[in-house]
Amino acid sequence: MKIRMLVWMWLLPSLLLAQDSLYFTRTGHIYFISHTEIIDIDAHNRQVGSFLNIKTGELVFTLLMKSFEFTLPLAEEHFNENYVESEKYPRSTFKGRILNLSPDDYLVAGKHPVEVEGELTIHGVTRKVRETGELTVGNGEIRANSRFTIALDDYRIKVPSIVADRVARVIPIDVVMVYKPYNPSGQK
Amino acid sequence: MGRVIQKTEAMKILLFRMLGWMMILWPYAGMAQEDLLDLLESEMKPSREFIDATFKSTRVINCHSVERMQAGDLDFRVAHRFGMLKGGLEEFFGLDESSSHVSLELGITDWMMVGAGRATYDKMFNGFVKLSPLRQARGKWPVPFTVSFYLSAMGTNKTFPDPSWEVDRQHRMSYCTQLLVARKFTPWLSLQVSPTWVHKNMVALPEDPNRLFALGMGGRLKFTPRTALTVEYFKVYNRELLSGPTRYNPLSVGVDIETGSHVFQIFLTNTFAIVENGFIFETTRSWSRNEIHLGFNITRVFTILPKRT
Repeated sequence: MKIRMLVWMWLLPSLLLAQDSLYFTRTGHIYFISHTEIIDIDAHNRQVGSFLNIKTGELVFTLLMKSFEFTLPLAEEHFNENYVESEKYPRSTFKGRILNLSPDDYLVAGKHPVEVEGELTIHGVTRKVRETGELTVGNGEIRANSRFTIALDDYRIKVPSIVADRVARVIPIDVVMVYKPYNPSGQK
Repeated sequence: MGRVIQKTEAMKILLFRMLGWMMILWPYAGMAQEDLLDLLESEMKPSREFIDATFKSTRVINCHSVERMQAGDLDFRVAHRFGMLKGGLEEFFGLDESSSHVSLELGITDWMMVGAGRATYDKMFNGFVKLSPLRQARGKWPVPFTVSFYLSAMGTNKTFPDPSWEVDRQHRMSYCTQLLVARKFTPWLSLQVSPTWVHKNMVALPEDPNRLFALGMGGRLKFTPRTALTVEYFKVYNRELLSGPTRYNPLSVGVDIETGSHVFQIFLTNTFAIVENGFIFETTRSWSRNEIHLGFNITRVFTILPKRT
């Protein structure tokens, strides 16, 4: 009896750790645009990594700033060299959770509006943020969409006065993630 | 004595019990420390990443840098070398006199650019192609340097002093071949070595060498995100074999200032010519005699073919 219990106690954690509650993508898409009267500067990053834990609602993102591809090539260099200082702060990350869904909700096909809260780190500055989005469950995948804005000042991203009228101070950001169940050994 | 033994026995039992609990709880320890963000970072294996912006401009100062215009970007450049600073107020510190070069330079792909321009010095047209077969990269298959080849042809349409010299087109040509090797050591320090061969089809005297080899060295030290100190030096071998005035090694020191799509380079140099055949063959001024010119390069980049994303 005692032995059997001990065996269970050993096995239980590995069962709990079985990561079928994790959803994953390494090809998430983030788009932003700086819109001014003079010029629109926009970029896509299609190499955003993200995990969604449907058991806990935990949500994490990471991306390399250098993976943003700009429509204007020169803007890409300025972005990395001068604005976000990609050598010094190569990554942007988010670490937080979905507040309003229970584990079962993630299994119900259809659209679910979500509220997300967590810490967003850009340019070495971490801030607590709370944004909304939408999850679409179906076809064995979970799609996440969100649109929110960030203010450059909040992340100490400086815009020199000479280009002040060419760079927007508040940047809308579109996030599109298509999560598949996480398979630690299989995903390549 | 007996009580001491009892005590150690009790401690032994306690120790075994603790060990037992630790063994049971061990698998749970990992759970508590499971950080989803750490797991994510380890999943997103580092892919290959090119190191960009070794220099702010396609020139160190006089010399081409390893940088190219990116595909679809057109650079309109104006370069000036004024007269000597020691001309004083009468010459307005050299600003009364100037040698200039205007050019249009276009990025064809991310590893190839072409350009064409005209210099007032010796009434020189020039055209070039710059190829970068190797780009500094880290991650998978790291590459320590960026390597560019610079190939240029220069031709003059000036009238020679004696009109009876009928100099044909072939003899008006010069060529420059450069191997540019640079490394961005840190975000603020980049260094470049530039072995340079310049060939002139016609020289002043038959004994003069037609070809000179020079070893160029240059670097930039960024002191704010948008400004950098630049230095460039060419050691010109066999320059003493040239007839006429003594030739010197070109040395230039300057500052790069970047503002959006413009880069201003302002510097002090002992060269008056702007293209390679001029500053390698004909630098007759010397820093040691205080024969210094103020110079600048201004560039304006236009994106004429936006990249598709």
